[in-house]
Amino acid sequence: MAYLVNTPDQQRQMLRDIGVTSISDLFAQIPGELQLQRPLDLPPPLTELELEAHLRELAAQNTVDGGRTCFLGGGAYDHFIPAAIDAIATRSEFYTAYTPYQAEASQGSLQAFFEYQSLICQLTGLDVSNASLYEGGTAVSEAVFMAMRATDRHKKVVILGSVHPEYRQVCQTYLQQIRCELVTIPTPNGVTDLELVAKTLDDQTACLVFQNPNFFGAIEGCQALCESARKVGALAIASVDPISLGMLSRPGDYGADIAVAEGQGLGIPLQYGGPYVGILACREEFVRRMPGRLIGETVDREGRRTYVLNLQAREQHIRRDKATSNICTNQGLMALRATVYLSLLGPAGLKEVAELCVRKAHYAASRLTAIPGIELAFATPYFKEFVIRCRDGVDGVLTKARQAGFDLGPALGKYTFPGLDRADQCCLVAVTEKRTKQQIDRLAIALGG
Amino acid sequence: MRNTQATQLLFELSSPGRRAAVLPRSDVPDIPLDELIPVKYRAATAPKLPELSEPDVIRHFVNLSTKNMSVDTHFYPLGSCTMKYNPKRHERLSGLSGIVDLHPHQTEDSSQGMLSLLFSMQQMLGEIAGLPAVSLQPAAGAQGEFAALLTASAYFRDRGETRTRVLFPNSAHGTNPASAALAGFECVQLKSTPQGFVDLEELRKNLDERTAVFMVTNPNTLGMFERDLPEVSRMVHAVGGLVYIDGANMNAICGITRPGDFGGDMMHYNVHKTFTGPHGAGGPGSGPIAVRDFLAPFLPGPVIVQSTDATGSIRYALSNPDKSIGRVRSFFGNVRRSERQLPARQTEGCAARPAGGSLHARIRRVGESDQGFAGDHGDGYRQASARLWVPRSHSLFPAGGRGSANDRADRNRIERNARRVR
Repeated sequence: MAYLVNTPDQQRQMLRDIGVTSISDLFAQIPGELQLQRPLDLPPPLTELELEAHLRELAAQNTVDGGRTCFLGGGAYDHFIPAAIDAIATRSEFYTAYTPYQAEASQGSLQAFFEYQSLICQLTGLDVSNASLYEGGTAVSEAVFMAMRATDRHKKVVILGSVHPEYRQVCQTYLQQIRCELVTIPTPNGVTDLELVAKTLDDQTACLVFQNPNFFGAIEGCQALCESARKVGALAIASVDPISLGMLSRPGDYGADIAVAEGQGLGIPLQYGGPYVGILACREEFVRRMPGRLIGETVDREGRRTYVLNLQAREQHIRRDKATSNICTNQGLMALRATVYLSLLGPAGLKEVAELCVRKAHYAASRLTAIPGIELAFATPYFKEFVIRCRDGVDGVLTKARQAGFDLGPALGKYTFPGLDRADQCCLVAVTEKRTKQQIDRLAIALGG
Repeated sequence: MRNTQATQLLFELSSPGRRAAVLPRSDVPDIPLDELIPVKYRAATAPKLPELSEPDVIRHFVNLSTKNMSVDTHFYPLGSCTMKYNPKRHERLSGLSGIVDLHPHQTEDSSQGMLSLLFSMQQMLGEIAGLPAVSLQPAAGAQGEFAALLTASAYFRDRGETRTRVLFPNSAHGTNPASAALAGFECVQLKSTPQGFVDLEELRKNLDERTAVFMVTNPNTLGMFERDLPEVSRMVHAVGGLVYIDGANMNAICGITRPGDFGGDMMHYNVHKTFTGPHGAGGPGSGPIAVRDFLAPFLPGPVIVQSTDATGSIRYALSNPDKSIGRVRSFFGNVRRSERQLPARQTEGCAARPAGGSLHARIRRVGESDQGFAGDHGDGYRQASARLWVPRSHSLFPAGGRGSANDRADRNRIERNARRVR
């Protein structure tokens, strides 16, 4: 595309209109000694055609021998994306719109975000949702900050070792500067030991963070976890998989105060880890502690239904250093995708996706564990992914699978899990509704089953 | 002709039993669900989502889209956040198979194309900033600020220094103080000169050994180039502090002057402003940061590194800097956003310096500012807002959700107010 669209005549006209003689006059206020006296040292420009060829070449290097089958999990999943989502999200009225500070110029997006919030409330069973955050990991950190303010406890946060290790790392990064201790509870058996939780929580604890299904795919005793948090006056923060809510109990049902989630599964492609969307919903009493944007419904001068940014006094552009968060924008386009996804799936569709994941994951587990030397690492109920333990180490298994065109993982040895023995023998296997019996059978055969 | 029926709320359009997406039947052996997931873990009913057909959904959102103003539909002369046209090819390329469907846990071997792309982006962003060490992790500009402040703080800690204060002029964007507070610093707001520049005297009075970072946007929020920044930088460095450049207005000076050359030690980019990430009605952003060499070991990781193996072929890998502050988000960054910077710069070629295409933007940003272009935000903005009186807050709670008695009370009150105003 030509970036310089104005003809020399038009440029001269524009300069005349504003009363300067040359383009360099426009930069006159930048002292000469600060101006770069050479072109930037960048690769040469490419035309659209060349650029396409270049990117295609790079993209081709990312897939070995064409089509691969994805059994990868660990926080990002290969779920089915209905075509209608791209049809909506690629409408340039949505993707080239400005952030909705001017309500009258942004009614389309504002209503879509309002509907996103409504859908997230239904999904989580909680009272109020914000208009989205960056992604699952930062959503956990933002929820932790909410809890610290709500409880006025700033010294101790308790998180289960079965929470996504990268979320725990992000939380550590966020807390390191403010001298708040992040206590990680070991989860050697795949789920949490409630007695250990009770012993770790005390009246200084701001919140208990758990994940359901947890990083190992296993289902936690959420209700009991929420109760133990409540006993010491701490908030219960549940990090959930939104797809699982087509079947599993909702955070509002088991007593969570705040629910957060990585929303990637809701119609957002894998795109090498981002952009995704961070979901955050809570009970009504915490609404003024929420980070990020909230959209409210109101009426305009003519009495028409209208949508606006709401309770903005929480936010950085008004409250500055006293804001509930430094987040400026939401994750607009990704929240839109999630909204369209949930509208297309509806209650029946979401339930079907969840059930298919469960059934296929269990079938895959039964096939893989029939192979000598491979067993399930944990004896707990699981949703769509599970941990296998490979007697002869996990690397050989991963390589064998890869050579046959299947990606499994991640290997647990990549991360630190307090209390977990022989992590280097373990890896995750995720099975979404997209996987077929045939693919699962072929994987099992490739691994010697 | 507006279709007002289709833009009712999804819950109002819903009718029981309507379906859009339909999934294939299960092809694995049928085992009762109770044996797979005990009933105590399951919800009694499916979530109450709206029930719609695909045409219902499409019509709803397509009609909603027509209620937006956007770059593709209108001239959007917005001062503070650089609204510009992005080539359609970039949107298309970011959706290529091999990019859009790449799983973040895929091995480095099977992601070499992506890693090479991200590596060259780090290089280019470093060159454009004049600050060579780059991390693509931050999810948005505000998170870039936060990450850079943590980076600075780790650097000071490493030197055995305790510095507690972050300074910024009162014209700073709200994210600056909010990020500083989040990073555990005390915020000190400095008054600006009557012309809207950094007040050197005021700065001098507030600089001391407690100063960690001075944050400044350049060109500043009023659209003017802070020409005293080299002096500001000398003053801040003299007390051992660092200078942070908020890159919000980088578009105006890209290729003309560089933050690293006018005194900055760290900066963030907003790729939707400076390059070709779409605004998306508020995100996703992407806020890569660039810093001086001596800060590189503290950057958030992973970053992408290049090496040459024994056979002479180039290989890219993810690597955590030695003394990294850690992750600021899961996975690697808003890759599909960041990746648009590459096409943007390559097609544009920063060599095309007096960029006529961005002439308008630059006139508004840099050229006219001395003559009071601060008012840029003014009339157009106010005029537009005045067309519609929007009362403040009433219902935060979703249709079909809770709290409807309060909603009604609020709505009545607001309607009364609305009548009074009329």
